[in-house]
Amino acid sequence: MSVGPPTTPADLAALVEEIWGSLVDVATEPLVPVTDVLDTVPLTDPWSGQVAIDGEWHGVVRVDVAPPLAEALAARMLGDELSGEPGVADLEDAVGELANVIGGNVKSLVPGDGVLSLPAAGRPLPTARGALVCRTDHRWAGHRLSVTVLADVQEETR
Amino acid sequence: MKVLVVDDSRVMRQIVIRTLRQAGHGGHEIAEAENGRAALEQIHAAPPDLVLSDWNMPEMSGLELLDRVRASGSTVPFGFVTSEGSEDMRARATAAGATFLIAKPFTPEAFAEALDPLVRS
Repeated sequence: MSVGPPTTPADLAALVEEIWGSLVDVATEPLVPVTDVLDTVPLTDPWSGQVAIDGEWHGVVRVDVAPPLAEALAARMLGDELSGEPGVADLEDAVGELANVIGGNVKSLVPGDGVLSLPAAGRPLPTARGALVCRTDHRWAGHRLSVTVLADVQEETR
Repeated sequence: MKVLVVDDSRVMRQIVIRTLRQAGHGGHEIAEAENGRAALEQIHAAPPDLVLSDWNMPEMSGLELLDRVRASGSTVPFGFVTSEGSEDMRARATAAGATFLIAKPFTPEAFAEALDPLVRS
């Protein structure tokens, strides 16, 4: 059984908002928390990123991003380096790095030292199975972002 | 000043380079490497004046890169830019000879605070 939970939904939402704000210009378009239950059903065909934390606490941090939002995220992160539309590698990189930064910050909240895995990303990315610690849902420019923290994740689903 | 930015994520390398500009450090020559092994080759071939490295990377981690750089006798200033900023990691970075550790998410102000003294010295 893991020690935990590492964070509350409110803590996680604040963390996600801070990280999103550092990656994307939120001055003109804020990241909005989603509370309507109809808006928190699992995303359809999202881009997903995931990192595992292994140590005294074992768990997974996963982000699921609506495709238009993943494209906007990659474009904002790459800036002038991007010519044309972001490709699959750009989208995997952007969503994976979003998971990596959120995961690194969640790791700082869990007991013990632990090890953060390299991020995995894809569309689809197999869903990890474990105990739900918390989840937060947001909307940016009309498109959804969902962040989930799971504990006691089955090894083969990481 | 030549700055080597080391990160396996292309998008994060671009964010680091953009943040350098926002921090008032846009005039430096920038080189990039996607892991510690590639960075080590670049450091030996064309020594930079500063290394900004991720910690968690495939092939060779940032900490192993720093160990190898110091073992080679190089004293190049070396800063970590990483998604983890625990006290344990900061202590390990310092013990290995890092100049600073900037945790993601970061701000231009954090970059300026870390880099300004290096430029002045």
